[in-house]
Amino acid sequence: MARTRRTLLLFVVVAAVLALTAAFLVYQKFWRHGPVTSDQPPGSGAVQSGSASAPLPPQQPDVPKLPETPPYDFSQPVPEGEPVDNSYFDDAAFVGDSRTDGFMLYSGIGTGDNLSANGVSIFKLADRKSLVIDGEKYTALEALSLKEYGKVYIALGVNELGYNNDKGYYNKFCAAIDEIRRVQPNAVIYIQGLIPVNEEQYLASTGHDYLTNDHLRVYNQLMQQVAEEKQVAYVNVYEAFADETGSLPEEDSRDGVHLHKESCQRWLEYLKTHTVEFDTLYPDGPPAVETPDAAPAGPDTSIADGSGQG
Amino acid sequence: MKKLLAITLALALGLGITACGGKDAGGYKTADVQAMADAGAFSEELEELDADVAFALYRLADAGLEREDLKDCAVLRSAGATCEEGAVLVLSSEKAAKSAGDALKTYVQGQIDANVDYLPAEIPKLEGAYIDVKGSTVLMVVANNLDAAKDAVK
Repeated sequence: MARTRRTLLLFVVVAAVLALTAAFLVYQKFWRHGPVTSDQPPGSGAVQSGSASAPLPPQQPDVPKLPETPPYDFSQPVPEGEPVDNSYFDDAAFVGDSRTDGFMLYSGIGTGDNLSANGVSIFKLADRKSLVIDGEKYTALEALSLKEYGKVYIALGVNELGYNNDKGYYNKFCAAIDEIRRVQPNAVIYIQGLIPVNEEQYLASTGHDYLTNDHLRVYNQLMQQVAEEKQVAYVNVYEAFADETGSLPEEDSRDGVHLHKESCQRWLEYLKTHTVEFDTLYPDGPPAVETPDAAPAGPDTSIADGSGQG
Repeated sequence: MKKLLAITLALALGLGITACGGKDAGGYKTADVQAMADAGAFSEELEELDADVAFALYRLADAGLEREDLKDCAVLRSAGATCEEGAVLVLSSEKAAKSAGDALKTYVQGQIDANVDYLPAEIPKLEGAYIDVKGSTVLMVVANNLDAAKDAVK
């Protein structure tokens, strides 16, 4: 009787050990990795939480399809957004004329590289060595190639308003963008629309009348076309300054062209609320660099203003 | 004894005051820039620049100076209509002031080069620029009426 009891007890023990072993193996195979979390890559071998009885077959990730982000519309100005702080401009270069020089001095930006020069125009951008860096003279385009930038702002057009060569302006602007992109392929290139002038103030201070807002608006349209053609960002700074007649208000300037300190600060605030990320512009990577021969003919929008400015 | 102590304290106080004022004793004062403007030295109202911008604008680093060497300054400068400008820089030493003076001469020459085609009417003002180092201070003025500027800082 005692022997039978011992045998029965042994059988129970062996059965219990076998059952525990089987339970451990099942646990090892199906439960050890725990439930799937959102950080785990799909197809990692984990099973869904709660599937205790048997492994599920591999599943396609059940990610809800997001609506595709539409491509950036280069025909439109950069929309207003949340303001960035001044450190956004740490890796920015500013190419422009005396207006840009004033912006760099008076806006309070306190960072970014000033590659501006008095009197420079899009027609002279590639030739005029106006910048002195470490004792060497450079053109603005040459200076751009000296280091890598994250953003390049270009603001040119006022010194060209006296020219009767809109087609040349367009073509030169396209060529400048190509060159900037060639030396800075990973930079966001911003074309800044021209801030209006005050024609009366300019006439009174210089005796000249060839700076007109009508022509300036033609240039702004051309630059917006350049932005679309070359797939770069256009910031419509014009809208931050134009009054109801499309003129620069008298209180923004003394000579009708160059801006007061407070107006430069407003210019900076506009730029800070109109930025766009490189990846937003070019989700598939940097755009191709065009060779000079591929420059477009550009629209023939010449007007006869009969003026000229050196 | 009390009398001796009082005299000693008075002497020490007097010497202290002299030392504080000695930094600018014989030198230009930042208030001189506004005095030049008030005296009609400039043909237009000029814009103020702060010390950080002035240090970069005048390329004082290229002259071997550190930002800390520029102790104080007052700068008024045209927004672009003219090349008129007035500045008083207070440096950390006479040697630093001399270096800053040299930097300002280079700056004015750069202004001449940059504006010879753009603002040719301003070139005579730039060529007549007055730069003077006095003690640890430097004065620079590019004025429409240089005599008025000089009279204001006598």
